[in-house]
Amino acid sequence: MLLNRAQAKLHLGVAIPTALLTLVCLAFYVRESLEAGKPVGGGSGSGLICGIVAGLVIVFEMGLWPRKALRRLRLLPTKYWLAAHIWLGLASLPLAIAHCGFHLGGWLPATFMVLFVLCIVSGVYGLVVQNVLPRYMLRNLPSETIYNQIDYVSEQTVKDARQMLLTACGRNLSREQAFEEEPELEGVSTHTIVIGAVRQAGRTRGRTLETQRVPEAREDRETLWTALSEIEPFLLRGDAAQTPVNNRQQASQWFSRLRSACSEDGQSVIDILEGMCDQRRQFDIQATLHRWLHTWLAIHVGLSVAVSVLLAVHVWTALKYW
Amino acid sequence: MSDKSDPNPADSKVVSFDVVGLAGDVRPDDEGLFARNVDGQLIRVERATASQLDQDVKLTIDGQDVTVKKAVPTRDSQGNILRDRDGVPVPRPTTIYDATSAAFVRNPGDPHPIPALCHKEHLPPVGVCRVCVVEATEMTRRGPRRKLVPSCVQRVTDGMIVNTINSQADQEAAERVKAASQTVIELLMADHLPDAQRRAPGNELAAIADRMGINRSRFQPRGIERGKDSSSRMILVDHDQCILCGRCQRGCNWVKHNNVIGRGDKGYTARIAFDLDDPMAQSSCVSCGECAVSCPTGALEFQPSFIETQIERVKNEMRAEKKDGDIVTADELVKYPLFSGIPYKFLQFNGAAVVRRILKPGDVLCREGEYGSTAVIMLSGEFEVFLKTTRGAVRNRSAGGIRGLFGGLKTVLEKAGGRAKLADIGAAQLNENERILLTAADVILGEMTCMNRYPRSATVLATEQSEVLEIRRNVLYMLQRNAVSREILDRVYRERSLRGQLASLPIFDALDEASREKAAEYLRDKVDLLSVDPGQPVFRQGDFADDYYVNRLGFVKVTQQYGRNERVLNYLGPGNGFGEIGLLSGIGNLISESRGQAVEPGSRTATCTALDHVELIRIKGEDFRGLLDAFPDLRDALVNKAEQILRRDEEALDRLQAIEADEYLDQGLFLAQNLLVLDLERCTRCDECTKACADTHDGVTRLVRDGLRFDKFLVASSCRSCMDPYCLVGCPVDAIHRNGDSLEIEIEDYCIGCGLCAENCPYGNINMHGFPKQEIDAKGKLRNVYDQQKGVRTAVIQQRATTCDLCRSIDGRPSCVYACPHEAAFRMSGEELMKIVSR
Repeated sequence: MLLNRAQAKLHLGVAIPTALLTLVCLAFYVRESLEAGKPVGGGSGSGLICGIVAGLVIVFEMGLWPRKALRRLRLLPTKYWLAAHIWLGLASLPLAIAHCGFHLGGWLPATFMVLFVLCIVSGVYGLVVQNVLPRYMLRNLPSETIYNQIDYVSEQTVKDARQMLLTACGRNLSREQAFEEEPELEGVSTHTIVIGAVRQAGRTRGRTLETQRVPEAREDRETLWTALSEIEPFLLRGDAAQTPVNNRQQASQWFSRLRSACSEDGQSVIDILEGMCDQRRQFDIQATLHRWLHTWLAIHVGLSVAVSVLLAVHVWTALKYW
Repeated sequence: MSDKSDPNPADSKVVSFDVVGLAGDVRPDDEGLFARNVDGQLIRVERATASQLDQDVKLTIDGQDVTVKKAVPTRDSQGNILRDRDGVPVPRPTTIYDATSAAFVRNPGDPHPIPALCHKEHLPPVGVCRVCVVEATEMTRRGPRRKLVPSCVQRVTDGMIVNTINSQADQEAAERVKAASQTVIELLMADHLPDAQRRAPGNELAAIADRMGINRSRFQPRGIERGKDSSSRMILVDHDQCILCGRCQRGCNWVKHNNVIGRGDKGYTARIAFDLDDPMAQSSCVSCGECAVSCPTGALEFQPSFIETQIERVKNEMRAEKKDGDIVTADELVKYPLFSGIPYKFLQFNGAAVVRRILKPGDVLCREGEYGSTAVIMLSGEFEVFLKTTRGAVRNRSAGGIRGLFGGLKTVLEKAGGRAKLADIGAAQLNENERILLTAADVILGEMTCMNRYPRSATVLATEQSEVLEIRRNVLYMLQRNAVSREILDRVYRERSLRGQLASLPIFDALDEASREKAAEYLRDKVDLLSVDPGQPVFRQGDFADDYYVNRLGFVKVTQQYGRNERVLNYLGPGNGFGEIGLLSGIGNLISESRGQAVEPGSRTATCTALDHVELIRIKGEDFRGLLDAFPDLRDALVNKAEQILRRDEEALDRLQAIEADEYLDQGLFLAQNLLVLDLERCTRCDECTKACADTHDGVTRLVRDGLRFDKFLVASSCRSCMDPYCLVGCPVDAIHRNGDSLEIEIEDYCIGCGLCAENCPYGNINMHGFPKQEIDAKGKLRNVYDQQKGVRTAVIQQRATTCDLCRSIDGRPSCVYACPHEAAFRMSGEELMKIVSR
């Protein structure tokens, strides 16, 4: 969730009451500790209050999970839940530390505390990447598509590339299977192909649907079909394939050589091929960023479940040995 | 037959009857003084004024008193009235031939008392053959003046006495006319009618000779031969048979606008010529066949090999597609009254375009949702029309069980009513479980599919042994163009369907059933039936409003001008009415009074244009006012409705006028009223919006998190409630339309799942969703239908169109926005998006 001035109203609406609640609890705790001459533990009145509040926060935090699963229910918009999740979660750490009186205690509270801190750290990490990566993606990945559609879009790009070469240069005579495949493509042959053009709109570049007329480039038939066969694995599988266009710099050199080997008419075809490679490169970056953006959640949820279980055990043992 | 507004008659290649500049005081019968060259023909064209359209002329034809208007509106080849830029019909003088037609040709197939060769009702008259000569007596200062005149170009005058060859009132006059006409015919026969053509079907010269009892010409044929042109594989040109009537020339140049045929040579060798007198095959002729169809003699005939090839090709196609039926030849077709007025050669040319089918009881004639290219003429038998798709509303309901306890939903089909409007069956309305029976008396069905290529509206099956003719578009087009056929079709429509359609008009919603029937009865004999060509405006914004229209075939586009731009308010399918706002505003300023100066009294507030071939019912202003006087409840309801529409339009217009941005316009966002916009700076691509949408709609999302980008916003693929909702066009049962209050797109419960709206949506925002097919059981409840195959029971699935309903079926708060945890999803209009981006 983005933390910026535009969302101040949402965040402050939750952060201020949370901060007040935390400060009140900590004030109690500090006063009692000062009276006792040392940091009091969970058995003290204020320590217990801090612990109960922190425990309730943990229970509430876990509530986000079923809340998100039950999307259909109108239990307040999810943005309020997430804002509360962030600020109450952050507030629970000082309360938990106060509750344990700055001691890790036995193995159970120690494990509990370590996992709890890791859980909060993972959450903070998530918050940071959610604040940084979407902006990065917006500015640097104009060809971004839906993550799980990357393979499909890549296949479609290869089909588009073949269609384009068929229209511009004619059949690929060097391919054995060409005669089987091309009649189908030939049936839909037009001199216009659909491209996802990157264009400037306002302050940001964006992807919109555009069509482009394909020029005749029959002179470069063999060169261009060969070029496509070399870059096709990259277009389909990205970095997982070893091709001369994996790296942006190498790709630039490779396309320069291709340009010099082709006639004037073939240049715009090469432009489109280069654009396709660039799109695939963006997909690879998008896939990486997507993992960065979302894999932490699995860790965070795992830790949260562990913390919840340990909280239950902690409450049970505390009540048992009171 | 129809009202057609021609924005610029000068551009439309229609012959001009305007003779401004001619000497005004020339006597009408001194044709030599003011004959004019119109497309190679020296003809007399007289000026007619708009006021003459309302002036009566009384004359006597063959002893019968006849009253006609002094001028008639000029019509094009389809009978459409041509209008000038101001919407006023372009007048032309009423001729004796017109008046005789009005007096004596009352029923289809009635012979015209005046034989004619060079004249045809859909072509401007040129009066060159003189076969249509009649004796006209006019009163002058010197007493009565009797003269033989060509009836096709001679205008009528008050008190004129006309005698044709059939006149019983003045048999001597009839003899004189006959003698003159006979001489002309014999002269033509001598030069242009070889013996081989004497019995040829479609040779009008031979037919007229027979009718007048002329066995042989008294004149010697000429010695000069003009030759033949057999270069075309389609049309054989025999110049010797050509009487130079110019019908081929007018057909080519004025009807089809091909401008290939002209004249060549002079004197005896004068003949028609293609381009610069090229052989036909080497000219720019496009082989449309119009010249041969127009030719009244054997000068232009279809090559027999061409017709045989055409028939064989269609037979092969039918065999390949395993279709039953026999091709009906032109000789058979002319025996049917409906086809009797159509030129024989046209039927010959389209010999493979009519197929006869014999259906056994239970045989399906057509299925709802199927695309087709034919209309059906019912010759005998009875047919049942019904909607096979069960009427059921797509609704969200609790999933039940534990899932339901936690708010789980499932999308179901629920029993629902609703009257589907069957565009293909004369816009008839069908209630649930209702079936319509059609017989041969209904003559035709399926015109909408045939003319406009829309899916079939309903399933039709034969209930008894039946015989039908399936006709293709060009034949239907000719049926609508030909006066005889058109009259049959219109009469049948008036007798069989009109009253029902009027009674179910939306403007009568405020009336009870009995009053609706009374109102329909009141209007039935007062309405006009019109047809409008694609792209032609029915009326324009700002025009004087004096008629109310009901659409019975095709789609009408309703647009409104704002500044230099235009927005589409609606697309109206069959069964919908329009024009009430302008009309009401003219009735005692009903709307203007309550809305100040917002509505110009009596003027149209929007432009209505035919999107495709449109057939309309026109209720004249005076009849509409009479209706409102007779039914005061209707008046109040209509005023309220019109005010609502105007208020809504004004609000939308205010929004539009504030917008100016190229990018914004490029991406079509200005048309959007309700965008799903994702702020990509905030969006973490978690897909919660998509999942929430899927959760709300039984696991099928109605949005895709991809689409156009505008600045930092992603405009996701979800229904935009466009201002130009092209998805509305073509629905065969009128199941998709604007929500009355908010302009949002709404799919009605009686959607038959043909998928046309999904294909039409340019943004892919309408999806076809499979639901288990349901049927109503004995208790009136919907039950799933199962198919048993090899012992396995599987639910039968039927498709329904679904689109974003903004979660109105739950609480009206879109789940996509509600579920977004990052405050990145918004619903906004295109204008609001623009404002945010402009900051």
